Amino acid sequence: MLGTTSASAHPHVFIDYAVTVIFDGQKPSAVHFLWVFDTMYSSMLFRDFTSHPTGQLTASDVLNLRTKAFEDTADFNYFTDLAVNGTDIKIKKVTDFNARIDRGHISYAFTVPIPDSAPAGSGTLEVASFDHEFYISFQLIKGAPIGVKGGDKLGVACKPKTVTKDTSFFGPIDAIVVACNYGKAG
Amino acid sequence: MAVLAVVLALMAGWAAPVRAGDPLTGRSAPAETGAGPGLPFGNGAMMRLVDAQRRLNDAISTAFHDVRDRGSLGAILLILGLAFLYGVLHALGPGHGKAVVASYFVANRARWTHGVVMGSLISLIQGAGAVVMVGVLAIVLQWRQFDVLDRATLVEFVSYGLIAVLGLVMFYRAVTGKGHDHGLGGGHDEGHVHGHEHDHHGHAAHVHARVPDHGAEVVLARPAEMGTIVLGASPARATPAYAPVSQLKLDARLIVAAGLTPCASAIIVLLFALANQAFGVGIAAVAALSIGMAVTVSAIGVLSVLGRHTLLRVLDTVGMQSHRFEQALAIIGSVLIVAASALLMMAAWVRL
Repeated sequence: MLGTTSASAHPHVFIDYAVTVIFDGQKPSAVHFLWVFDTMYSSMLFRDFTSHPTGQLTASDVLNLRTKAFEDTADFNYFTDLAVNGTDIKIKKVTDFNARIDRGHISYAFTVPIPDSAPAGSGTLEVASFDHEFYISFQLIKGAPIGVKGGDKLGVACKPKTVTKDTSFFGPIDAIVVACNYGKAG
Repeated sequence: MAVLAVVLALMAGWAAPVRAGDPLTGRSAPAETGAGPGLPFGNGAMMRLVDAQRRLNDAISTAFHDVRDRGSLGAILLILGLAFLYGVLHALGPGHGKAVVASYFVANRARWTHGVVMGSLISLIQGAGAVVMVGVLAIVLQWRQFDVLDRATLVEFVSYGLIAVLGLVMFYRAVTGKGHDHGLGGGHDEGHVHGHEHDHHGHAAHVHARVPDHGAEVVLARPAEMGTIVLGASPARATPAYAPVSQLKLDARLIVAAGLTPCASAIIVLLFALANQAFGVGIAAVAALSIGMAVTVSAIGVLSVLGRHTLLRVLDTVGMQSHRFEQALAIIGSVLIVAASALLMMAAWVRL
C-alpha cells in the first residue's frame, strides 16, 4: 500500500484526447490523435515554446512545439499504446503534426502510421494514449471521442473498452482504450 | 529474529522507477517498467480520484483567470478552497511522503499526534520548497518554466539520497539497538509496557521498575554507553522527555529530507499564477494545497501508529510478547525507507 516520496504524486498533467482510426482499403493504415492539454500545462507550453501570440499559434510556434516539446515523447512511444491483432506496435514516426490554442488550451494533432503488416480484410485494433508512469492522465474527450475514416465496406466497429494496464510504479490500473473490430461482426 | 525480519522486508519487494522530470519535454528515456506494490485502493476509485483532480485543476485555472481579469475576491477564496481539496485528493494518490511517514511509524513507537506532526511538517515543507524554487528560479533568475520544473529532478535526487542515508542510520540503530525507538520525542503512550524481565532489544543496562501505587514505570538508568541517568516517572499516558537527542535529530532530518522532495503540482500552480500576474494568490493557493496534503499524509501517519499499536497489542493478547517484535518492526520500517528511496534516487539519477 505504501506510496513513495516521489516528486510526482501522480498525475500532474491532464490531457483529453480523441482518436480517429483511418482505413485505407481493406486494412487500418493510421491513427489520428488530438490531444487537448489542461489550462495550466498549456500556459507553460505557451510561455516557453511560442511567441506569445494574441491570436492563433504561428507556423514557427508550431515548429517549436513539435521539435522542442512533442518530439521528446518519442522516447515514450508518443504515449501511444497501439496493438493490431494483439501485436504491440512500436511507433517510429508521426506525421501531420499541428498545434493550436483555443480558450487557453493548447492542443496537438498528429497521425501515427500503422505498418503495412496490419492484416487486410479482418482483424482487431486497440489504441489508447496512456502514460505508463502516470505523470500524465489521459482521458477520452467527452462527447464523440472516437472516429472512423474509410473502411466503409469492412463493417468497422470501434468503441471504448476498459482494460488493465501496467504502470511503472503503481502496478496495474484500469484504463479506457479504443477497441476496433473490422471485417467481422462487432 | 533480526535475520527473519530482514528477509521478510526484502521479500515485500518494491517497484522502482518513477519519472522525475517532465516526460512531454524531457530528454531521458524511461527507466524499465516493473510491477509496483499496487495502488492503495481499487482501480475504479483511482480513476474517480484522478477525475476529481482533473475537475479541480480546471476550476482552479478558471478562478485564476477571474483573478487576473477582474481581481475577484470571490475567485481568490474559491482558489483557496479548491486548492485545499486538490491537496487532500492529490496526496491520496501515490507519492508525497506517505511511504516515509508510514514506514517511520512502523519502525517507531509513537503517539498518534506524532503522526500528525510528521505528516504536516513534510507537506508544509514541500509547499514552502515549491514557493522558494519558483521564486528564485522563475522570478529572480528568469528561468524558463520547464527548466524550473525539470530542476525539481536534481532536488528530488538529493532528497531521496538524504532519506536513504537516514534510513540506513535507522536500520543500524534498529539492528544494534543503539538509541531508543521512541521517535519524535516520546513514546511511552498507551500500551507501552517496559517489562523488566524481557530482552529489551540490546539495552542491557537499561533498567525499569514498576511503581506499584500508580502502576507507572520509572526509568532508572540508560545504557552505560549513553552515560546518562534519568530519574522520573513515566505514567502510561504521558510522554516523558526520554528520547535521546540523537533520535530527535534523526527524526527532524528525516522530516526535512522528505519535505525537500518538491511537489510538481505546487510548482505548476505557482508558475500558472505567475503567468497570470497573481503570484501572491499562487503562494496562498500552495499554502492551502499543502494543508490539504498535510491532512492526508497525517492521516496515513496516524493510521500507521494505530496499526502498529494494534498489532503489538494483539500479539500481547495471544501471549507472544510484543516487545520481541518491536526490533523486527524497526528493522522492517527502516529497510522499507531505504529500499524505496534508493530505488527512486536511481530513477532520478537516470534523468539528470
